[in-house]
Parts: sequence; structure tokens; C-alpha cells
Amino acid sequence: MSPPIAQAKQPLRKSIRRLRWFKTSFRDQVDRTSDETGVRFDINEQRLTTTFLNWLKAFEAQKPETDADRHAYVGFAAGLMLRELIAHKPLSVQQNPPGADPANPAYFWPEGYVYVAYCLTIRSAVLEQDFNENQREAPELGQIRTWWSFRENALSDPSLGIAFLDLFAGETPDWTMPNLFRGADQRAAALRFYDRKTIQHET
Amino acid sequence: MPPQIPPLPLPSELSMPVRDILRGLRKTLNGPPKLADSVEAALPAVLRDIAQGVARFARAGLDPQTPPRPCLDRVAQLHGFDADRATADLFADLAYRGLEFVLARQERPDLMVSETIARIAYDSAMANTTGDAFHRAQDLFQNLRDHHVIGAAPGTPLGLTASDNRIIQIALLALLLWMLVERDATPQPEAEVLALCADVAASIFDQSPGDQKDLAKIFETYAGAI
Repeated sequence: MSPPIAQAKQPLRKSIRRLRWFKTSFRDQVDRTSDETGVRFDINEQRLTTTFLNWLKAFEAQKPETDADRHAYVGFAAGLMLRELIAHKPLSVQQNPPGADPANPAYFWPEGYVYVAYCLTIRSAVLEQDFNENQREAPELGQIRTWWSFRENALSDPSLGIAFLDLFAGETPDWTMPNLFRGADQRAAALRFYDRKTIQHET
Repeated sequence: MPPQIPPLPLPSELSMPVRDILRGLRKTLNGPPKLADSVEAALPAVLRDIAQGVARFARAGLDPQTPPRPCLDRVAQLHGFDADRATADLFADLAYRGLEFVLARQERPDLMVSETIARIAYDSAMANTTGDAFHRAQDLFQNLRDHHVIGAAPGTPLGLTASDNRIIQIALLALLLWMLVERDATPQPEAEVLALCADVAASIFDQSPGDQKDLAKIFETYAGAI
């Protein structure tokens, strides 16, 4: 999965909040993936617009107020994007190349593959630009067994796309409440709660 | 002392309704053959010849499918919708062109748009509006809708179905969003911006069709996000 991000004239974290930039960068990703895999896609522009609008609403609704949570929110926001892409399905396969191997994630679920590639690319670009950090790619990204689970679960509950994106990016997924962003304070409080319960349970 | 004769209207003051008449004729006579035939059959021979000539003339020069660039470049001048006369005429002109563009994109070019009524709706909205550009846009939306700037017979709700009303409200939302969108330093062709606004308007309307109480908030949210 290689990065296709269109050149932005302002910080990526701001550009991505513009529909024009989102559509251009998404089309770039689709073209790039088509060149790499030979799969041809149709893009439903109206659904792509709805994807963006719903993502923007979700993004603004949980945006953290403290700088300490900005880093964690980058990954969460990319997960929200994956959730909306899976929910609104702006892509459909027009044509698969002959002899495509269904054990390769890019052919097993071509639309999902593009969605994941796009969200990881955005996530990686923002982390690099804002935090000078390189994103890891977990081995699960290339494992067909993980993709079976990903497709089955995310199609029945797109919110799980948020957790799967964390898994693909080498982070610890929240499988129970993936829709809910937890800042540093909430994560620490949750850990204290679980520690205390564990201690009480043990005694 | 002889009675004072009221000043004659300037040609430019007559031209807006005349343009509407020409456009109406063009749409009717260049529209579906059945409709055009029945209209032509109903006209006396002399008027029929005139109407056909007018339709050819109107088709040739009045309404380009994509509004000309110099005209669209002026859309930025509307930011804030200042209520002076020059802006009102500009608003009416761009409202006509923008709405025609969106209706064509929504595959409803048969619906008619009145530049004159857009001008009347603008004056009416500006006489009563308060607040920022987004609240003015909300008032403009309501006035354009209530004056029936778009319709089978603009100025009246005659012959409009629920489906027509959906398209009309999407077109009005798209138009006002387009006039409010923040422009980049590197401009994008206005036809593309307007097409994006039409898609956004359709999504907003279809997700909450009855939610028009706080349009100002919607305009403010999305004007910076397109």
C-alpha cells in the first residue's frame, strides 16, 4: 500500500476537512490501486460526498480539546473515515484482472482494500507531518484470515472498521466500544478502574 | 401646471422580465415535441412565426449550459449579500445561471427559473434580514422558496409534485452554499464547485428533509468544508 496523497497547500489535518481535497485524494488512491492491482472501480460521487459529510460530522463531534489527545485522535479520525467508507460504499468493482488470486486481500475484497489503503495513507501522512512519526504496518494487513474476519464483521457493523484500522496500523484496537474516542485521561481512568476491579476480584 | 409624467423605465429595468419570457419560450418550444407542438398549435400563425424565431434566437445566445467564466468569477462579490442595487442584479443573474446548472445536473432541466422573481425575492429577504451572511443566506433560501423562483410556472406552486419540491429545495441549498463557499488561493473552476455544492445539498436534504429551522448553521458548517 503506497502513499498517493495529493500535494496540499496547507497542513493535511486541515486539508482533509475540505470536500474538494478529500475527493481528489480519494480518486488518486483509487487510480493508484488500480494501477497496482489491475482492478477497475466505479466511484459513486454522491455516496462519496455523503461519506465525507458524515465523517466530518463525526470528526467534529468528538474532537478533543486538549493537545495531549491530538496524536491519538489522528488514528481515531482515520478509523472514523474507514467506518463511513464501509457504511456508504462509494466504490464498486467494475472489472477484476484475469487470474486474480482471491487469497490476496487486494482481490479478496477490492473495495475494502482501497478504503483501508486510503485511511492508512492519510493517517500516516498526518502523523509524519504533525508528529514526525512513521506509521508501522502490522503483519495482519497482509493476512487473508484477518481480512475474512474484517470483511464479515465490518460489513455487519461498520464501526468495527475503526478497531480493524488500529490493528492494521499496529495499535491496540478497542473492540468493545470502537465508536468512542478516549483521550489520555479517560484511558488512564479506565485502566485504574480495571486494575482496581482486578485487585478486588483477586482478594 | 401640466401633470408630471413619471420617468420611463430604463431598458435595463425591462430586460430581466423580457429575458424570463424568452427563456420560457425557449424551454417550451425546444422542449418535448408533444408540448412544443401543442403550444405552437394554440398560437395564431403570426405569433407562431414570432415564437419560433424567438426560440431559435434564445437557444443561440441566452443560456449557455455552463455559465461563462467572467460571470462566475463575480460570485465572490456576493459574499455577505450586501443589499445594494448592483448586488441585487448580480444575485438575480447568478441565481438564474446557478439554478439552471443544478437543475440540469439533477436531470430536471424542464423546471423553469425566473431571474425576475430571484430579484424580487432578494429585495424581500434583504428588507427583513438581520445577522451575518449565513443568516442572510437562510432568509434568502426561504424567500426564494416562498416566491417560487423555480417551478413549472415560476411565481406559483402550480403543478409541482413532492419530487419537484425536493429538487427545488436541493437546488436552492446548492445555490446559496455555492455563493458562500470559501475560495482557495488556487481557484477551481466554478462549475466544479457548484457541482460539489449540488452533491452536498442533496446529501444534506436527503438525510434530514424536514430540518430547515437552522439553515444558517448548516451554511456555516459546510461553507468552509467544500
